[in-house]
Amino acid sequence: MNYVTTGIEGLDQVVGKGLPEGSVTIIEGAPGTGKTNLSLQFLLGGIEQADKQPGAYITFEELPEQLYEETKSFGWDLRAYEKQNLLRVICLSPDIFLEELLKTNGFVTQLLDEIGCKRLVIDSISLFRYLSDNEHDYRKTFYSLRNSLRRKKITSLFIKEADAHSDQNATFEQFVVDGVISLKLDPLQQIYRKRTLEVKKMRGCAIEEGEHIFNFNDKGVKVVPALSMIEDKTTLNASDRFLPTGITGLDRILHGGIPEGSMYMIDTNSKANYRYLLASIVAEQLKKGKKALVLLTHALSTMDFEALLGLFGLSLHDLIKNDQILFLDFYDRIVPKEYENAVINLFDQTGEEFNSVMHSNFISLLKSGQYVGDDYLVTIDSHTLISSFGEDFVIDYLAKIVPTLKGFNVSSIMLNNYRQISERNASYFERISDGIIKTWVDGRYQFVQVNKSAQGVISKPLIVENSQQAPFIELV
Amino acid sequence: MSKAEYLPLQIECIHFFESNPFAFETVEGLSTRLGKSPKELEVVLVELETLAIVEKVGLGSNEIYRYVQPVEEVL
Amino acid sequence: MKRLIEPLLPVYQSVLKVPVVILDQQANDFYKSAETNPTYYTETLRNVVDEYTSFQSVAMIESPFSFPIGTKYLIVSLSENDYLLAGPFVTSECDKNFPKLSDQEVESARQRLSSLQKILQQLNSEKKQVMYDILSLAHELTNVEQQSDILDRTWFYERMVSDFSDLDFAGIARPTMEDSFEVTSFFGSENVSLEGYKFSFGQGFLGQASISKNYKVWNQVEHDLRNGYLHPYGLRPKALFCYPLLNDNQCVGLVFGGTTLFHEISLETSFVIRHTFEMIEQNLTIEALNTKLYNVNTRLQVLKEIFSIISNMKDLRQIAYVLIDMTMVLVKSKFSSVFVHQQANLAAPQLYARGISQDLIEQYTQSIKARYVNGTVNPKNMAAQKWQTPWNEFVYEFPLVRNERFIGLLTIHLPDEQTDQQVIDLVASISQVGAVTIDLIGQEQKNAGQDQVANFFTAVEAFKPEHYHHSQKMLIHIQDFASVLDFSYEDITLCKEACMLSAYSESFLLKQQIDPRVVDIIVSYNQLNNGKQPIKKSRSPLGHFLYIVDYFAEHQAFPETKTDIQQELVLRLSTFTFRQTLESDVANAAPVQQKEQLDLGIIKNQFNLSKRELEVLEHVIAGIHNSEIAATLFISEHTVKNHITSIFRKLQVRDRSEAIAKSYRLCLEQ
Repeated sequence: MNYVTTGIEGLDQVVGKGLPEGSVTIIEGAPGTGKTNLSLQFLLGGIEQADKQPGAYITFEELPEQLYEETKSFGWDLRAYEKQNLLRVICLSPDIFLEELLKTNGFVTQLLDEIGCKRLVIDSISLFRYLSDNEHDYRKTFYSLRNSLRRKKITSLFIKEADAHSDQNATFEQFVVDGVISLKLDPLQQIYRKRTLEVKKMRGCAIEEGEHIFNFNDKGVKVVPALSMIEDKTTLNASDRFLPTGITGLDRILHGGIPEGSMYMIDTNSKANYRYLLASIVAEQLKKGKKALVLLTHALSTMDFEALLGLFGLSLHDLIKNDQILFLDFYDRIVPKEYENAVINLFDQTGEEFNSVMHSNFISLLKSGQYVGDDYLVTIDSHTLISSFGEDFVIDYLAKIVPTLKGFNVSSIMLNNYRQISERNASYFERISDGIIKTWVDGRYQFVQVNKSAQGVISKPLIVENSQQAPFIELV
Repeated sequence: MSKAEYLPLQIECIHFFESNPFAFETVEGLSTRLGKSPKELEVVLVELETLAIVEKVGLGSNEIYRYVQPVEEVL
Repeated sequence: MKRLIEPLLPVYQSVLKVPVVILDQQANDFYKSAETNPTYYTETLRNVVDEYTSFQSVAMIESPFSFPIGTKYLIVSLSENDYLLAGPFVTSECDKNFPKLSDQEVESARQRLSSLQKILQQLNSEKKQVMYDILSLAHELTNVEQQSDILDRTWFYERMVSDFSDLDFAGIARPTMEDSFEVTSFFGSENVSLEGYKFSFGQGFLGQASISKNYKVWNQVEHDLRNGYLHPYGLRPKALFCYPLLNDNQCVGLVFGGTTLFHEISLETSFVIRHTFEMIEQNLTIEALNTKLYNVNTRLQVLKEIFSIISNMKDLRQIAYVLIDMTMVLVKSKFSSVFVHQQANLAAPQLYARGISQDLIEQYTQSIKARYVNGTVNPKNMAAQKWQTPWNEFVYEFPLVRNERFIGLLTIHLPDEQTDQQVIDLVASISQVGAVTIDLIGQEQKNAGQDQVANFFTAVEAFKPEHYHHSQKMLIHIQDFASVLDFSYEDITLCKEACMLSAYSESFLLKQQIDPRVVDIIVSYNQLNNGKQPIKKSRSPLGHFLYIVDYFAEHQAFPETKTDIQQELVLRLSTFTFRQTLESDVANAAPVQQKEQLDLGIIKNQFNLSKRELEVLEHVIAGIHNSEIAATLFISEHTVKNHITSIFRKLQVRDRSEAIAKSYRLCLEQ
């Protein structure tokens, strides 16, 4: 069996290999769930194929001009595609459509043949039922429609308004067609809503069960397959190595996490709690057997870290014993005797001294090959460095150290607070970071937003929700 | 000059078909879309058909009108 | 009886232009033609009834009896206790809440009410039933919306015959193409039909009525020779009438009827027929007028709609399609096209067309390119023009021009030789908007441009097309004249703008964000055109300039000058035009004498000018203003004027331009 791509980012993965050629799939959902846009993108997906599969959109209620207008925001110029004979947005009444499609050489057939139509969307089939006097006739018509399209090898989407009460007809239609994709719009909080997509049925496909989030970006619809899939795929695919942050929502946005060997900045304001975010990232790596070099901050002592990692089920004692973690502390704080070996105190030291400590304890070991960069995650707090050594030193230092770390494929996280550094240096920090995860408090909510990422993803602000289990925060 | 009173309706029809070049409408269908009387629309559509701005398609009982796009010549 | 007239009241109102009300003294029965304030009538009636006991004929009620104060009414008594009041109205501009009638209108209203009174008096006589029928017929007729259609129905005449006991035939003759008439509807006794009877002006009874354009009744005509025309159709009337229906003083139909039994048509019948058809005629006129107004309104509406559609479009193809389709519908042309010249956002010129075959498209496109793009047509002078295509059809071509740049061409096929100038104007306006919109596609200032277009189409209502044509002509002269007068570039631009915008109303221009200097020019120009002196005299000499250009464009001559500014302008311009004619006349002849060095001695001798007068004339010819002459010659301006008057008298010329022209001519002839 041949499969055609859905043209929708992520959806091919969810249905397996794409839609079977000549299949009929129902897209059902309540108004506003995105059926129209999803279907249109399916047609455009065909047009953008190398072998150019022309498509037709049959609308019974909405006028083409509305579609032309509404889809402009995605940068789609439907009329231009029509001009190239790759698309037809046809508007007519459902009875005429059926009559002319099923008739030998009816004008609908002529129209489809004219462009060599390979894909079809009918918006919507809900009206067909009213055309037939009785259930028997209706079923007959529906069968004929499906068979006719199958024979023509036209892969079709039938849009169906979701009934509040699912009746027998729905069952009948779902039974007759090859696939059913259900769209939902779940209210979440008061401001945001979550769009989900579920493939309920797809003949001849190994589908990914469950609901998948999808959303609209400036290019159209994008389905984000549920996280479980991503992890499977990323472990399979060695070339795309990410450090998961351990926070589901964030990993989803980042397509799996922070790319190995990159420098990501966590930008906070003073009110925002970044501790769990940082701890989750570090813990996630330590669990995988990686190693961490942690530059402690004034708000995070060794003891604090011990407690935090404990929450993620890690014992600092074991980690130190396994030589997995090393702290640099810039403050004169008491360290339990058992951890003393793992903490280098830099209190009252100069920048030069800090530099040499870093060099002798880490950089030189990387250079000599004793340490493998891939194994390491370094966390830096820019504020602590600046208050200890001054802004000029830190800028100079970062200019040297960041490329070095990247060169050895060491991953790093830099904590930063924009308000505490000058504007010029803020933009410098922004430049040297491969990604920026910003978190701030506004009103009674804390938000997280990905402002920059190596993956090219930028997210909208997401609300941070506390949870009872690790990683203790969720993004919604 | 065609009968002046039908002009606004003709313009409306043209604008409709131009904006929806692949709309296939019966007089009744168009009447619902535009909210105009089918009787007046019939007059207007016949007129537009003589000017070859719209054409009738399909066989059988339904008279379906569609827009005829002007020809285009790129030099 | 009142009930009988009630349905006619709205008709009376439409004819008399004031509300009409019937009521008795106690205001127990109240019939009215429109929503009116009952108090007005009861108060007024109470006031007059106290004064008078009866009204023999139609009377006018004025202050202090009328209510509200200052209004007037016409009153007529219908029976002992019933009155008909027409009003309130005013005869002067005192109160705008009431209709204002001219003396003439009051008089005609008086006559109509008087006729009505007579009918009603008849009604009270023994012929009640007959009159009832007749009135109901009149009512029926006057209430029908499309009266012109009704008049062509046979049942109408059947009804007439059955309603009027002394008629046994009736019908209508309509004018035909060949300036004659033909009976189009007829009802009479069996075996008689006049349908198809044709006659020309003055021929027979009906033909004579068509010339006199007056209602005529002919009694005892059994042996009249004019009857001979009707005999072949089996009709031998003993008496007949004819009512020519007039519309805009044109006879649009001859309603006739008569009897083959009686020698005379009764006075009552004759009277009611006249009355009925007068009413019908009135309504026909109103109907026609409304249609005309409606047409104008519709066109404006059409224009507005097209503008709003086009200005919202961002796609070249769509705009082109709309231009093509709309103009096709407007002109009923079988072929329309839009040529779009190469632009920044368009790789190659394109032609969009409808109603033309592919090979002709190619042919036509080549022709457009040859004439417009590769330049036999001057882009600065691109007015709409008629053109014969190589395949021998006539088209009108409307260049799409913006900022003197050719951006395209809208073409419509002419359906026949007579093309309504109004339609051409309409299409021209559409083409202008098309030009603006096409030009702005894809450009940065698209938004600004849209505002321009929006402004443009709100301007349509304030637009006077006939003036626009004229202003196009003026533009050419402005360029020439302004350069003669050494206007600054800025002044020239101001004048051009003012000229182009002068087709719009001042009130409209004030609302737009237009350079106030331009508006100033237009204001003073309009005032001059209306024979007034501009209020802000000093502000805008350019208004005078425009006025002179306007006059010149129209008459190829300069206006009688009124003001100093104009005199000076005309003087300097006439020198120029004179020089121009001269140059063209003697271009190939002997070398022309240096114009600046005229030997005025000849003139001095021939016309016996004083030395001082000669000096003044020299200055005048040099184009120097009176005040400057005064300053140069150390004399008063008053004296300068005296000298000039004297010069004009001696040279036998009326103004400076003639003086200069004559001087040149004489000097050169020598």
